[in-house]
Amino acid sequence: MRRGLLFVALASICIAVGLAPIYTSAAETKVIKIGAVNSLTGFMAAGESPSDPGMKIAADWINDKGGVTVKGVKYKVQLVTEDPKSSAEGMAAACIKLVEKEKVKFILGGVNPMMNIAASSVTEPANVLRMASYTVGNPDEINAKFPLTFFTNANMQAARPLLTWLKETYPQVKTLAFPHPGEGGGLDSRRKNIEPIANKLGFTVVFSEEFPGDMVDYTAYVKKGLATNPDAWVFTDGWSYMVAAQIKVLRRQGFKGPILSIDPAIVSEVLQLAGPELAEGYASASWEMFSSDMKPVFKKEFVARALKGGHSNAWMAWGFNDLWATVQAIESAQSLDPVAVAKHLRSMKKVETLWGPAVMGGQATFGIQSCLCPPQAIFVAKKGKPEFVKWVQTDVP
Amino acid sequence: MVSQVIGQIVNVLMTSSIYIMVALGFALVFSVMRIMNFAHGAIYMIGGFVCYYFSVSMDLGPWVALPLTTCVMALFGVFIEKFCFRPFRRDFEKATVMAIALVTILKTGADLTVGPLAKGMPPLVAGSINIGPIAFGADRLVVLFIVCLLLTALIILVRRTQIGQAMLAIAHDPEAASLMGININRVSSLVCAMGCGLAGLAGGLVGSVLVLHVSVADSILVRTIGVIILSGIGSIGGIWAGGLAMGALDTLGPYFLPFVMSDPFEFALVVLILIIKPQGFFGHEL
Repeated sequence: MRRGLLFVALASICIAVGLAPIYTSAAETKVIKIGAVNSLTGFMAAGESPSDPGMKIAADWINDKGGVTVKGVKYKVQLVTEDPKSSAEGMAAACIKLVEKEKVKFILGGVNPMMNIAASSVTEPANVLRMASYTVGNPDEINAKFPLTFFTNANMQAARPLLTWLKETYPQVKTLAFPHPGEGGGLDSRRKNIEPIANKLGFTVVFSEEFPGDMVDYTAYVKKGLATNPDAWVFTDGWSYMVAAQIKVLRRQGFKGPILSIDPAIVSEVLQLAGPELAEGYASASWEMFSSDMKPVFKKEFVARALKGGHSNAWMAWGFNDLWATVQAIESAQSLDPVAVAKHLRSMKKVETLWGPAVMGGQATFGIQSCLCPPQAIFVAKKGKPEFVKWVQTDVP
Repeated sequence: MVSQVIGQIVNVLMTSSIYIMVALGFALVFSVMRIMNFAHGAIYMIGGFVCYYFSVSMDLGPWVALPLTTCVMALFGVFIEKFCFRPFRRDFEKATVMAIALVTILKTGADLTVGPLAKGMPPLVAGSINIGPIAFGADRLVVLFIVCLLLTALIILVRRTQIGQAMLAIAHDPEAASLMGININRVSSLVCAMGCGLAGLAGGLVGSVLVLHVSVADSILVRTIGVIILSGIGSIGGIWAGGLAMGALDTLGPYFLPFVMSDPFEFALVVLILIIKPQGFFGHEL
């Protein structure tokens, strides 16, 4: 009897000790809900929908590593996704739902300037930190009135390094054509932010005109640009299909000069759309899903997981970086208070991205340091494949 | 100066051929069935992706993919005539609402199945044609040739064949045509099949010259309606004039104005022409 009681006591102690970590872990592992606004339908879906799986891949990776740790407490990331349906009203509605119903304090995503402005009109008053994927540099989109809004990519960030590369590689190029897509009021900011960089490097901008975003045939537009005799055609923005459509016209019109994109219209995508012959020599400061020259974290954590999940769209990287940057800021600030995290993020010397460490920028250009400027890789289309040239550090003064 | 003028004429012809190609199917459906098929742009876009599937994914090449696409889209036309338009044949408003609903369904369906990324197709004919200082893609010449062929064939069909006479009769008075023994359902199915087939063919042809993207549905529809208005509502033979006018506006307007002003200017001119000559260049021919 006594032995039996002793055995039961010992067993109880062992069970209690064995279960303690689980109990403690269960008590200490919480959930942090993070909102995501990516258009899955409508005209912005091309740019935003890939961010959705990208964010999910990042969330799985972060959770597999143990989640986010703030003051000794571990938090698993739980993404809550809403589709703003490519409209400003849709974006506002999506953010309102995330803030009021889901009570999120952090929201990711946003590419279109009108939609970004609509999002900020909801998130800023609600003290919600938003990590948007992209800014065209519209001053209504990024300014000191939006201290809780950050951007992991900016339209003009690759202008200086890419134009410097152009000057070194094609010293005969003196005049540039800058086609600008007419979306979201970015024309003035592109002219204000990018053209002075070109002028400083010794280039003369001979053509700088907007084209409608819904243009069917670019022939007339391209011919107008070519009449100014540019030595190089440099896209300051635009989706890959716009770039490819213009390349087709340019080459068939006999233009032989270099064609580049400051905005990351990915080389492999443009190759697929325009064809290897016409896209030969096209260069962009961007990234490639299957290049061996990408960083280890890109290849091992992003690409491997993406392929496992059946995804292969390179634009998922934006979504991945949005979440990863946010989590880094939270952990570095050791706080879940968006205002404290925002303040701390601004002072961070570097924030890791899939392309390497990003530096903060934007103070001189926008009056607030809200841009994360990552390195980018210059790729050139050579014989039907994207060829790596070199890594460059982007910047927004 | 002369070469510039010739170059602009060539540009106008190239751009116009695309608009005429797309507008043909729309004009046919509207002329005979009196249905403003706002889904025409979406059908054109879907046709482009169907052609891409046959040409690239199944590796059949463009010259096999194009007739296959035309057939597939024609069958689709039969389907939408029977289930979407036939119930509302006598009701213009309801047919219009149905067409708008179709647009939403087709575009969202394309977004979710094809995906939002653009697709590129290999050209029908590679290479450029250079005549002095003027250069243009050889595939655009092919599009121009096919457009001329189709326009001619359609005009002959409508004016010289029995089925064409049946279409004319239905367009003028469907009830009288029915009393004369014309099978309205069968002719309407054929018209819709031809309209959708032409839209699909246009999507495949233009997709190989330009780039395929879901958003082309809206931009091409706006211009198609402009072509129809200019040529005259009810006119098929006049499509060439409306297409040329729209192509000229699209090509020359931006040359003299900033591009962002060219669209509003173009359509302001269309409205002006509508006010001065409401029946368009050729009025009610069909």
